[in-house]
Amino acid sequence: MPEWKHEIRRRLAELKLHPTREAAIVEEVEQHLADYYAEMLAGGATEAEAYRRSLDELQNSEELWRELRREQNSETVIPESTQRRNVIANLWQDVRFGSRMLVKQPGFTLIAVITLALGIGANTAIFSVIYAVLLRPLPYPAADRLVLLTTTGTNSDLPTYVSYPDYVDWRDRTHSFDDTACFVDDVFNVTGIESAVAVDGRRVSSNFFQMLGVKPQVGRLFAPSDDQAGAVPTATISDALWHEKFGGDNAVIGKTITLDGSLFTVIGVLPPGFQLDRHDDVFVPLGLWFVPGHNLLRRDNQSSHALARLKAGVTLKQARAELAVVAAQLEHEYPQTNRGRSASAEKLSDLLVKDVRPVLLVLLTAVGCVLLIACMNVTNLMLVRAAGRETELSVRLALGARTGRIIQQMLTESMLIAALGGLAGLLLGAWAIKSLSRLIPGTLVQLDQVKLNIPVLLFALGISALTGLLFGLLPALRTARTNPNVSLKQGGRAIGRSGWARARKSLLVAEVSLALVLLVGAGLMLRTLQQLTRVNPGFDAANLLTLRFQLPNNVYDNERRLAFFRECRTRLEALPGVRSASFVMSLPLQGASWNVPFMVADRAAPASDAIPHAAFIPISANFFATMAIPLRAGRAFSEAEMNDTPAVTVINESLARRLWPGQNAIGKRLRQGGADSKAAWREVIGVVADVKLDGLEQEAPLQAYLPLALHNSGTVKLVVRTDGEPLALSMSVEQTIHSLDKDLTVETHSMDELLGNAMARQRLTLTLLAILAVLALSLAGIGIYGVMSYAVTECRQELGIRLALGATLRDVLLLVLVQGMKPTLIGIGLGSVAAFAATRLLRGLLYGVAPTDPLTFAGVAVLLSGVALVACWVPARRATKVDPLVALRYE
Amino acid sequence: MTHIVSRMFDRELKKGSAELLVLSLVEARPRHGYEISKLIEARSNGAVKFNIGSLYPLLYRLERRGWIQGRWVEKAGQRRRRYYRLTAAGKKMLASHRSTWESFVAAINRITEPEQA
Repeated sequence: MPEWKHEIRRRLAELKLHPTREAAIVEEVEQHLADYYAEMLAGGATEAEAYRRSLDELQNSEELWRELRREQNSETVIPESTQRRNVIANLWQDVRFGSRMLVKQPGFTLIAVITLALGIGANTAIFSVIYAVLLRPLPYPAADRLVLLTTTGTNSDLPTYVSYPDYVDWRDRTHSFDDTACFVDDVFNVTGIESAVAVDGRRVSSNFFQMLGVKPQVGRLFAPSDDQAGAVPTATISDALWHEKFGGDNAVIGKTITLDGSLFTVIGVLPPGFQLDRHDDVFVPLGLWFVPGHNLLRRDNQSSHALARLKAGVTLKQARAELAVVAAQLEHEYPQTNRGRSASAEKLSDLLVKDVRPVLLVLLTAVGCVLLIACMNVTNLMLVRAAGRETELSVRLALGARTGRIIQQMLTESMLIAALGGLAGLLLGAWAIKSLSRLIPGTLVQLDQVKLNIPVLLFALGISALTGLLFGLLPALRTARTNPNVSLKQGGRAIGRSGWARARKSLLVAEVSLALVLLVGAGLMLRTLQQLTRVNPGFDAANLLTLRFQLPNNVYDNERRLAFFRECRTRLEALPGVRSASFVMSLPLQGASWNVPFMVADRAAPASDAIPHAAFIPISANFFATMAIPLRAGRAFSEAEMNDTPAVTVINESLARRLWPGQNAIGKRLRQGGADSKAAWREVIGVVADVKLDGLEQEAPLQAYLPLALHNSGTVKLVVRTDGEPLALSMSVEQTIHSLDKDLTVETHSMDELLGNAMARQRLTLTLLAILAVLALSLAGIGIYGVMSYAVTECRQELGIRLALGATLRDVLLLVLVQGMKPTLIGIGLGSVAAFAATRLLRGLLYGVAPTDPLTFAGVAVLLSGVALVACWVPARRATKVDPLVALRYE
Repeated sequence: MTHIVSRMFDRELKKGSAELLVLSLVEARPRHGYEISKLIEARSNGAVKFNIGSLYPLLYRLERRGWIQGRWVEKAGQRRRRYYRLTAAGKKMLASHRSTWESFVAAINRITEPEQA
């Protein structure tokens, strides 16, 4: 076959066309001449004749050169509509081409899609929780203007607990709110239905539901006339209770139910899913309790909550300033109760997520890291693939393919992979969301809102597109920068020295860094949980059963209640397997129920805003023995002292240290209340060890134990020390209680369960972080293995040369291992620096361990190095098996 | 006689109809340059011929205008070839050319019909 290119180029030379354009024309015209030549030969012409006639075709090509010259000089613009259509046509072509390439390489496609699916799935699942908790707008009208009014200052308990009279004054004397409502948390014994049940409920002012934009699904909600003392007692119930106990029948309207022994008429059913911060089953009007002298109406009783909506245009700052002014007025008007007490407001949306926001932010960071690692793995795969196509792409570039077109084609391929990965990730995410719902305690997050909804789907779509761009851009740009001259001439590559290898190693470093950050986070949470389990709660939690129930105030007066306590204890302690039983007003880890100021005898009264507060806890005489709380000095209560004559108290060691440091506290006296309190002075007869009343991470508060006769609340807690597994006796204990009053609904837990719940947040964070860390570690390990494996294959020639020149197998092994461990160690170094900064996010969740704990960092570094070593080992072993002769021949 | 006729066609009518010829041939399916030139020659029974000098300038002109689009296609066992296909704008232009050509031919026919005695 004659060579035409030279002839064609000669004629094109003077036109000085762009090299790629010239190459394309030369190829096309050469092809035409070759076909013409072949046709001549087939028609019977001799080779010389066919050659002559083909050359004639070329001679008569003046018009072609004129046209090309015109093309050089012209500035003809392709119409935009044509350009647009061409773009779409190109895109479709790329999609078809890309799909064919992916199908041709099923192994690569599968690994890439699975890797991405893991990253996208994890992110989708965590985002669904974040959306449900942090991002979803609260389902109440003008929710961003809803606030809770709070008390602040030294003379206040928990901020969101306010006293009703204070609430009324704030409401009446301020102009910042267009609506306010008050509510009190409660627990009701619901009887008069097929099976009695104790439910969470609230006493609410009549405008509570209207403020939250709630409409009943059946019946009606409270009117102002229902919300007064003396009104016919009415109640509204939740959708869940309606279905569970009333079969979802509309006839429930007008039925009466018994709440804590009193009759209430059901007037309405709330819509499904309604809740404010927690799920309540029963609501009753608050005003029913407003008889003169009722506890709730006392200014020193801070047991209500106040909800308010800011007027349009009023800022939180302005409202707070106004509340502070009113609080100052009340301080002046009611110095006994309000001295040292100020008022403020907090956004409802902030308060609702306060506990869980730190956990979610940590998890978001963690899944982000996992996704980045997954992207980097896929980028590495794409780089390997692009390196393998380098020759083909170089030829295309040399023949005139536009760089932009090649980049577009490669990006289309990566977007296809991202789309497949996104789809698989969505399925994985949906499964993960279901599992998450089982893992997360319902107390932390409203679980029915954690689902695959439109925002979550859009998020999955968004990160799929983003990952496609991320992992596709580097290989595409890298390819477009290929210098065809260089790559077409280059033969085998030296290990680790080609531009491709550098890019892959950099990605490795980044992967290892991210994996380290995640592992350190998980490690710190593990240490936290370890520390928490080691915390001495102040008592022996083993074989301890706890029970909670209501003795309704309208059925049990003080006498009857004390009689119940006595009889119940006697019957319980007679049960086989029960060592002792005790009543107490506040269970450990659940917070104190009775926090009040107190005075110390023989000491000048402190300024009213510096009066100390302590948790006062009425108990049975044998409480310390039942709980195995060590006695530090003096003695415990005797049975005779249970009727509070004489007035005595047992205090905890923190209180003793605080009030009488270095002295013997026995015989000293204190009393509840402020400077002019009429309460009796109590003599300290014993000092016991501190008990973690407010939670494992909190310091034990100041505690003073009182005789049981002072237990004035309807809610009763009972602790039972058993011989064996405590829950095994729960049925007989409950039966014993029911033998005294069958209408009581008892909630039973072992103390171990309560301890476990106290660590719920940390345990959840650890579980999820650990899963993500293991995922990150696996992905990083696979990444290292993949890169080193390919590096060994790529550099067979060099390895063969080394072996041929006398390198030992050990030398080759070390060479590969060092090449693999170098980026790992750099990654560990960089990752440690990043982790130093990142672990600050965990600060609120850690206990007993610093965010920069050296033991954790060191341990993780060793673990990562170990995994990297293992990942490099297999390719290193393979390198030692290279046959020098084969490798040297291989091109 | 055929020789003289074909040269007449080459110079005069080819100029006016060249674009129509090429566009209509790539309407059915994409074709490469050599195929287009052979088809024109075959279907016109040798009356119309396009060589390199006349075909490729036309193809490049049509491509520059966006009426056809060329792309390299590699088939198994063959060298790659540049195939040209009709674009959407080209379709419109083809329809317009056809209509113009038909009107022109009809007008010429009306003029050159033998007069009725």
